[in-house]
Amino acid sequence: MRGPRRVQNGFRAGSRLSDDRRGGGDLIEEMPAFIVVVLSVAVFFVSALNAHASVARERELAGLHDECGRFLRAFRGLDCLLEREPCSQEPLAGRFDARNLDGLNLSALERRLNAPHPFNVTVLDLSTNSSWTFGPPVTGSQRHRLKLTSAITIATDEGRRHPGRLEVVMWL
Amino acid sequence: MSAIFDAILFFMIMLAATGSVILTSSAITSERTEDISKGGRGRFASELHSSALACTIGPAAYRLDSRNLTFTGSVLGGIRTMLSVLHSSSDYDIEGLSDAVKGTYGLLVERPLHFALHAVILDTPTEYFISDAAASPGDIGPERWTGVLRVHFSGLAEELSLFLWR
Repeated sequence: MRGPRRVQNGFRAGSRLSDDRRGGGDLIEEMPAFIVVVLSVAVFFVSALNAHASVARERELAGLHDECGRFLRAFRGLDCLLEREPCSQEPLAGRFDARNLDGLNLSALERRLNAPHPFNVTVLDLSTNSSWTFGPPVTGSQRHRLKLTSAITIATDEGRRHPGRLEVVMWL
Repeated sequence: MSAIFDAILFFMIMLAATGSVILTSSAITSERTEDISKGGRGRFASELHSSALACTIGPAAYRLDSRNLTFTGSVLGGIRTMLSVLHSSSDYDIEGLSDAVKGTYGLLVERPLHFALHAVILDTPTEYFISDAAASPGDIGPERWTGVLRVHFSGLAEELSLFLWR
């Protein structure tokens, strides 16, 4: 028996890989294909990670939106700030009394509403442009910030009701 | 050479998979944003409507049958006064009162939203319409948020509808 010995998988024992002409290529020859495969896998994983991050961020914002909405509703119904119905003395949701707003402080508000995230509340009298603000100031550095507004009325000392706006900003 | 063709085929498949991942995630996020935005619309409109109706306007001048009158009271009272004026006489001028009502809604509705208020005495042709943009109820776009209030006063049923749109 002379010459290279045949083995079952078709390669010749004892010959170099680059000499084989039936499919086994040099590593350098396969490099572009390898790069294309690595690139496509990388592109897929980067986009999948981005998509996951974006869905997670959206879910976080939705949670913040719910919390902010609950806080807004709770503030609108905070009986120590509201006008009362003349006969039944029931507090009227969304109808604030300016004297009660003057007497409110942040610690009392935090104690009553127990907000899960930092917040800033502004009650704005749209007729006179006067406002009441509670909570730390809103800055650009706050990540995932959300603002919700609601229409309200503000009863003044003169017995009039001014149109107003309640603004709640909440952030993570 | 067949290896590079295989790799390119693999790249195409991965590209399609990447596209589908991006499409799915953007569909999920846009659907959720839409839900949030739609969920608050009705409540926002009805809160705005009830707050506006409770506000005080006046003294606002109006004329009925050659008599010069003034009105001071709630926006709801002002709208009812205008409806009763429109219902009872053809000699009237309610522009001052109408401007006061429009001014209150104008303060409460934030840009870029527009508003229209349509008040009607049910089962009669008497109606009153104001808006900051639309010329008539038919001009309001189909994408609108509505707050409707029905009240009964002096045996008459009135419907006050507030429309908000972008």
